[in-house]
Amino acid sequence: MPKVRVLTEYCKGCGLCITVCSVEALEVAEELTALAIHPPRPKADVRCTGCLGCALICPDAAIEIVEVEESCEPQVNRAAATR
Amino acid sequence: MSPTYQRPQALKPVVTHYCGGCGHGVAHKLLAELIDEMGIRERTIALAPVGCAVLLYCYLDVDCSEAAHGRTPAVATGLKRARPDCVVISYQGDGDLAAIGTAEIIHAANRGENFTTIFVNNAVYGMTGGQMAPTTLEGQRTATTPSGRRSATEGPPLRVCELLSNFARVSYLARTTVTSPRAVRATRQAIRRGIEAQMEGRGFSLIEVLAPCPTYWRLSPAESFTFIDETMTKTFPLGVFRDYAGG
Amino acid sequence: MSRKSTEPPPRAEGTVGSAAAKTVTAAGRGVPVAEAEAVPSSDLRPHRIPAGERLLMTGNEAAAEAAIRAGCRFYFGYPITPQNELTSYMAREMPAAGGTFLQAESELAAINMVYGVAAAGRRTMTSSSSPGISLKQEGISYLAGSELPAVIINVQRGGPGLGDIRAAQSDYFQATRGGGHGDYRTIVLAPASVQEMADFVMLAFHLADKYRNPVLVLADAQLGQMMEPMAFADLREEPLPPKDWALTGARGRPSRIVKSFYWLAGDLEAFNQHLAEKYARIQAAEVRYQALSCDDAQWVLVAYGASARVAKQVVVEARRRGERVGLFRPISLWPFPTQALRELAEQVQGFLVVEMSLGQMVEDVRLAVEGRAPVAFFGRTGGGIPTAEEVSRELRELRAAEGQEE
Repeated sequence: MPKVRVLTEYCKGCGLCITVCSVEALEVAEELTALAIHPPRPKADVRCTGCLGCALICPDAAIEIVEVEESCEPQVNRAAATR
Repeated sequence: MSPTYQRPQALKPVVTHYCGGCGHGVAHKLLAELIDEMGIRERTIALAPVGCAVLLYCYLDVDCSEAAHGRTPAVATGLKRARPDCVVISYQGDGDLAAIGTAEIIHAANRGENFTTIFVNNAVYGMTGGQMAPTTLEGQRTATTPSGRRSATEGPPLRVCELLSNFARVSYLARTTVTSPRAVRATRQAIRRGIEAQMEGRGFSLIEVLAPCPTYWRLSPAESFTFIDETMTKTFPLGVFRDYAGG
Repeated sequence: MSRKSTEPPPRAEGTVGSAAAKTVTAAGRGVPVAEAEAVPSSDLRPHRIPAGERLLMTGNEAAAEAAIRAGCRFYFGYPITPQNELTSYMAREMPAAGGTFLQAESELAAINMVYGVAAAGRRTMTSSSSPGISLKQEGISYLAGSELPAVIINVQRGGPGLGDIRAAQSDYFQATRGGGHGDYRTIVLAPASVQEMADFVMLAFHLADKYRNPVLVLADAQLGQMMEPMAFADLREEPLPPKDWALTGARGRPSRIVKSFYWLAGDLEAFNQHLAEKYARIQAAEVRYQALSCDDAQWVLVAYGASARVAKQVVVEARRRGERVGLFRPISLWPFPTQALRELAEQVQGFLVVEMSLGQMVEDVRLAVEGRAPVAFFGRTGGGIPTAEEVSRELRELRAAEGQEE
């Protein structure tokens, strides 16, 4: 199943991905990046549909979509959590 | 984990100087994706204009050159004539292409020079502080049209695709936007068609991308998309103006 | 009797560059085939005019043919009198040589097309006349700032503005002080005959590649239009380094950037210092001049190009009368032969500079002489050509004023 991976080092915080997401699966994270912005992160309780909308719209090529194995657990963006 | 969408290899791992929500970012990304997909990194030569995209060569991992303001089509003409086996991408903003470089783009198009131009039209001069561009809309306020552009004094906005569609040796001409995932896909496809036209030796190709400039439009990125979709496209209709494959 | 130092190459040899020149082909140098060579072997073709065959040619056409023989395969120009014959010659002969001729939409476009070809590592040139050269200044500044080799020929006409179409030498300042914006120089070569139009164009391509710099050949309407006997030499060059900076597509190597923009504080200053070092090397190695009858001269005329032809006649006639007069003819206007003039100033009573302008090179002569001897000036301008009688009279009056008995 598809999963959003945010490359927060490139993110400018424009918010277009959040606006464009077809299922409102992205939200603003609390963390501040080196560019002093709040990057997006996938919501814990909304499943990505793999529409690629966020990745397409991102002006900074800061979003990748990866395929992960199905699991019963709600999805968490591990990349954001470990930064 | 296998990526179904990943950051293109042809984009250097560098944070760009572009503002959040800038249309240049998307155009660079799409060009880089196509360079990856089409496997042409080792054959591509890209030209950076004068304008916000002056640092294009910092971001695209291909052979690059600057060009003097507006002269990009002339430099591209020389480059392509000298290295016809290379894919030459000329990248220009609205000042570079439609103001100071009007003679060069018209004559390159008329001659059917076999390079591809990506024309990023955001209706304002960003780099220099938000002045009027030839494509600034009627009524649009800028640093040099503080009361809004008026056709009576500044002339109407210049429509480049319409102008260039007069020329017989233009092989591919399209105007697109980047205001939705679907529009972004369409822009990528249009740029791909332009590059294919070049690789098949069919002559001049140009893709005009209506792009947001949230900073000098004084709008949020999302509001900028609305401005393009609801206002800008009335002056600059989207579409394919010339497609050699379609006749 | 002439004293020669770093003189232009003797015609019979046809060597360009230093005395140690030898024939070079691309294959012989063993450079990787993928790299952009200075002169690809495919560009060294036999020409329809055999080397060494004497013929009559105009300066404009001789310059064009010389460029093709030097391996230039890309010419971009725009019609402007008095250099149109050069453009027309290129229109016929460049495609015949397998090259590209393009009449650009303006001189501005032409110099930028030159930029594109130069960035791609191929030999290229443009030509124009004074007002068109003004248009090219931006492009020439970019060429210098991007360290791109190119040859630009200025067949000068009267100015300022639209001026007229007759010969003038009023672009000397523009040519030798950079001309466009920024701290840069172009090498400037001044032919004074149709033979030199050919020889110096070939030399120009070599120097442009040797130093990665634009080179300007400063001619005038008279030189462009006149017809004289001459002969073409084979291209013989010192080895040049491969163009490992050229844009050829990043095949199996990191990508390259050709630019003149340095926005991080300190970077541009460092780059300008690098240019200064390059220009110092050029000044040390590429000074060229001809000193005619200067060994025992009391008075020396200083002139270049078409003025030098008149000055030479004055010197020849003066010597016939037993007067100790010489001609110092700068060939490289930049780098200017400052040192040689300074040395000459120790021995002479005075200089008379002759130009077809209100006086431009005379300033460089005064700077070189540094007050060691008087420097007088005689000029015609706006298309006027000095006559030998006028210059002789001027010289006579000068000598009388300085108390010179005759």
